[in-house]
Amino acid sequence: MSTTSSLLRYMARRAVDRVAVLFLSLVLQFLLLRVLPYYVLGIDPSFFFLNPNLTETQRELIRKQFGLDEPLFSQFVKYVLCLFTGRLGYSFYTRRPVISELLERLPNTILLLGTSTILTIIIGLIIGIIAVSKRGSRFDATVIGTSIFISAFPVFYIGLLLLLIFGFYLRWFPLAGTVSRPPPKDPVAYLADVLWHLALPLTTIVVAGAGGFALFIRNLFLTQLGEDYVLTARAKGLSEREVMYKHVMRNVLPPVINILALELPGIISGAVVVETVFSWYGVGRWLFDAAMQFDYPVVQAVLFIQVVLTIVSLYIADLVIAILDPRVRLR
Amino acid sequence: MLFPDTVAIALGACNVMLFEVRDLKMYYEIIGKGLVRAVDGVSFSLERGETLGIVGESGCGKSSLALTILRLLPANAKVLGGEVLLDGVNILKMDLEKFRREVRWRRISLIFQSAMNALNPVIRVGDQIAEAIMIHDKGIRKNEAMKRVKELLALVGIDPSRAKSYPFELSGGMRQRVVIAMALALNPDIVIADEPTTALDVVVQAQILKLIKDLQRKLRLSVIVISHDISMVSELSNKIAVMYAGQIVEYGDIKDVFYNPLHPYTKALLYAVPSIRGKRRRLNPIPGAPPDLLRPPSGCRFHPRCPFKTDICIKEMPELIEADEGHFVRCHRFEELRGVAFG
Repeated sequence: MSTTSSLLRYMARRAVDRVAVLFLSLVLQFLLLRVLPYYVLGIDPSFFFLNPNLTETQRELIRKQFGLDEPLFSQFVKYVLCLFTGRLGYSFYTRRPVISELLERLPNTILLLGTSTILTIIIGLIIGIIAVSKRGSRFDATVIGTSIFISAFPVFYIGLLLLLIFGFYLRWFPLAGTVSRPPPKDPVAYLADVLWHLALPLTTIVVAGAGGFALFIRNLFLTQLGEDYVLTARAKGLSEREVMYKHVMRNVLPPVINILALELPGIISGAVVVETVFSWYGVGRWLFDAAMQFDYPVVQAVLFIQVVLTIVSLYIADLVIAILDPRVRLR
Repeated sequence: MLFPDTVAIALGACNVMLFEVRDLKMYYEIIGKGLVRAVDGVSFSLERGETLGIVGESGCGKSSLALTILRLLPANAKVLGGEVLLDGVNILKMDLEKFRREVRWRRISLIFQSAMNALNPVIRVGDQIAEAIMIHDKGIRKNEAMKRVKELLALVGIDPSRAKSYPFELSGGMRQRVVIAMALALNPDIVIADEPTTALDVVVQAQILKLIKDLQRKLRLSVIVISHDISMVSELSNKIAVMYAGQIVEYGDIKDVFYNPLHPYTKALLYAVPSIRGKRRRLNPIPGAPPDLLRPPSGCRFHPRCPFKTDICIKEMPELIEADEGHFVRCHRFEELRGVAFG
């Protein structure tokens, strides 16, 4: 069987699975965010208009506007169609279209979480590989100790600590925000200003994550190094470097990619804490605020994005792993 | 042709002493506990085309011996003495980089214990064999290497088209054949087979043994077979070394050791094997357990399990001495115990 045809067949099978998961999570979202509040808890959308003088007809009109007079099934169909076409409704609080607010905030979150995740992976990978190739050394022991020590701190605590030292006492970095108000006109100054604001939240995420990731990489390599095929490779006369990169790496990468795929959608939930601590104008803080204020359209939109992100990134991971590991696609 | 017959005959004719291990000592260091004497004064020699079997219980140091020879020991292992001579050169003292390029696989290759795990699961078997060829011959092109891989696979009785298979697509027996083909890739002088048939069923075991035997004759290989299975070893070897607690306790021609065992441990091992033709009897395991090599027994290491022990056995370690011509034994009382059966 050729590699490509078996790969295509495997990916088609996985696609069916993934679509099923997407459908299920949409049903769940629909139930949690629409059916549960209105039909079970009796929370009326007109409640959010905060006007006690609304007449019953006006209330009826608002309900109709939200489509709550239609049968559940057609509501669900419309719900799904709207999500996929970007008609995400209006925020109960700002009264602005959710989609436009989302497009303002998403780049900030991608900037913060994207750079910090990439940095975390690179730093973790390098430290982990150095630690495992020098296992038992002082460097290795330091990595293990520090990683465990840092892992004991919650992310928000690390963030607050950095904020207190470098923001409040030393005044090297700003205390809050994504960019100064008013923002600098000059593009270079603007970029510098954004990076200045980015420094502390970025450091927080990297410090909180890199150690754990390095430990994970170290242990993955360590279990693989005990395998017999490593001994075979060494006996064949491969150098230690060739053993690592030609033999061990190929067996270590699939689990690493899996973890990364699972972490990618976590970017948004991870953003909740850090963005709140640093008052970052991003999606994470938005989700948090919206959830606290029962701003259903916003919560809906962010969760939808997260579901799609999860499914897409896992699908890409499936593809990469299937290319790397023949046992996955051929069995 | 893998090995031109004329060359094989020429080399066979001169029958030079090819490989010699002299008083090899390798200990594992366990922090806070001391030294595990895994290989403790082992000596043997091997001529071209000869097969030496090394037998012993699990944990007697036989696999450690193989790892010491190929210098594949873990970091806590220390070679504390002795030498391993390949054509008169002590390969333990050789520069590691030179050893890696010139000795590993090119002169000494290894057939591994577990056919299941000895191959990298995510690389095609053909590529794994080709890799062995290509790292030692940087000039060779991939397609030339693959041509050689196909010859090798045919040699071990595998359809050459299986070069494209992954290890999990092959049966246990086929995987072991691949491992053997890989071991022969560079026409090595010496092949060390460490438990080449464990984890295979009996029928496949017999096939693999026959394959190794045929190849050994055809290619005039020197083979070191390591196993706990004395009958398997006897199928393949001309010479046999019985190991106990890191030491060789008996060494000699296979017929001498088999028909005229001198050491009580060898007698016990042979007595433990049920005979098909002999009269029916219960299985006779050797009482007791192999000693802790962190604190080996005083005197003769076998004395706690030996029914013939006397005071001297407890006090003094016996030397390996030549009892008959080419037949060595490490026992104080072998002379008076000649012909005395174990049990």
